[in-house]
Amino acid sequence: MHEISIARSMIRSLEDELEARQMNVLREIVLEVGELSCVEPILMQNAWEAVTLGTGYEKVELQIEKIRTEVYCSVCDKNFYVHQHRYVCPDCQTPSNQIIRGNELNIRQVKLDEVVESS
Amino acid sequence: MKNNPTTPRGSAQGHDISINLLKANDFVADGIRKQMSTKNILLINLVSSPGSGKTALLEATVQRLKDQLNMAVLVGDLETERDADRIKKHGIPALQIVTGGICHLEAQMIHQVLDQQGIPLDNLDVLFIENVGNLVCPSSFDLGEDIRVTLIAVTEGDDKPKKYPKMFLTSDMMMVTKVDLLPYVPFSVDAVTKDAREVNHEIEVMTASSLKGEGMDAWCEYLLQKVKEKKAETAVTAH
Repeated sequence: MHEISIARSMIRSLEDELEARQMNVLREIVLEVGELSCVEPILMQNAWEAVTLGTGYEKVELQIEKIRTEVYCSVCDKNFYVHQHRYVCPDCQTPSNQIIRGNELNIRQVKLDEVVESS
Repeated sequence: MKNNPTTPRGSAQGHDISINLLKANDFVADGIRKQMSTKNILLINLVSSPGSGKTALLEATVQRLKDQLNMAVLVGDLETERDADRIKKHGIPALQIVTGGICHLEAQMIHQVLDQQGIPLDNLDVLFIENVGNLVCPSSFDLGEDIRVTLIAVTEGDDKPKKYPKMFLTSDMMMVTKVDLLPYVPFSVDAVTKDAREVNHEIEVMTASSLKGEGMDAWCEYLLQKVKEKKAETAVTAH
């Protein structure tokens, strides 16, 4: 979709969330991308490289974790994965659109270089 | 940590955090939803590919209902004010939101327009938002709407629900448009309905031709009913 604006908002969100000294040693970001988020991992990587150019975050690696769509079936009381965009329980054939996972567009983890404190 | 010999200096430490990148949008959308409920306004988000007939449907709706309902329209487009001009000709307030290249509307854009009182909200029954023509990106952005309607024209092909599942998954209704052209195109309303319901079994399906009028009575009836329900719901929460 609009991977460039997502990359920009990642930087803004991280700057809000982390302290400046942490941003300075930021090495890696783990981004959860649900199948339903409409975000394409390869384009997201390219967008990240483009957006970080000249910002000081060029060396920050982006790890993308894809998350499959998981839906809850109230009849079987369990979750199932969606295949071929059929939101129908494979066991009992009951339709459901109670999405448990798949909408994610979350920064799940950041990796920071260990700051070696001067003793 | 410094004394742990197994941790080399300068190694990266993982910190679990959780930043939802759509959180800001959802927060603003909830604000809009509350504001609309206080004012008894039904908010409808119209989405579709470019050229499926969102503006035409609005024009035909306004012509039929303008004596019964107070309506207004916010129109999102990458460029030009053409769609808002088309709607204003029918005598209701319409405001263009030029996104300047952004492929969808975000709640913040709607909030700003409402905040600047670009549209008079007093005594309004229905506010339509005509989203940017795009079946992908608008699906992820809640605008605080009560009803999301996805339009699909019979000239587009009946395979859209499976190609753009998120849009159909998040919609309350699929409106098949330009049905006066059905005799000339290989489009099956049954097939598109089946596919849409495999994605979202609760989706309502309607068919209409804005130009020829077929199906417009049912659509207008639906709108009048939803306005009534909205006012009843607000009246209940007020007590």
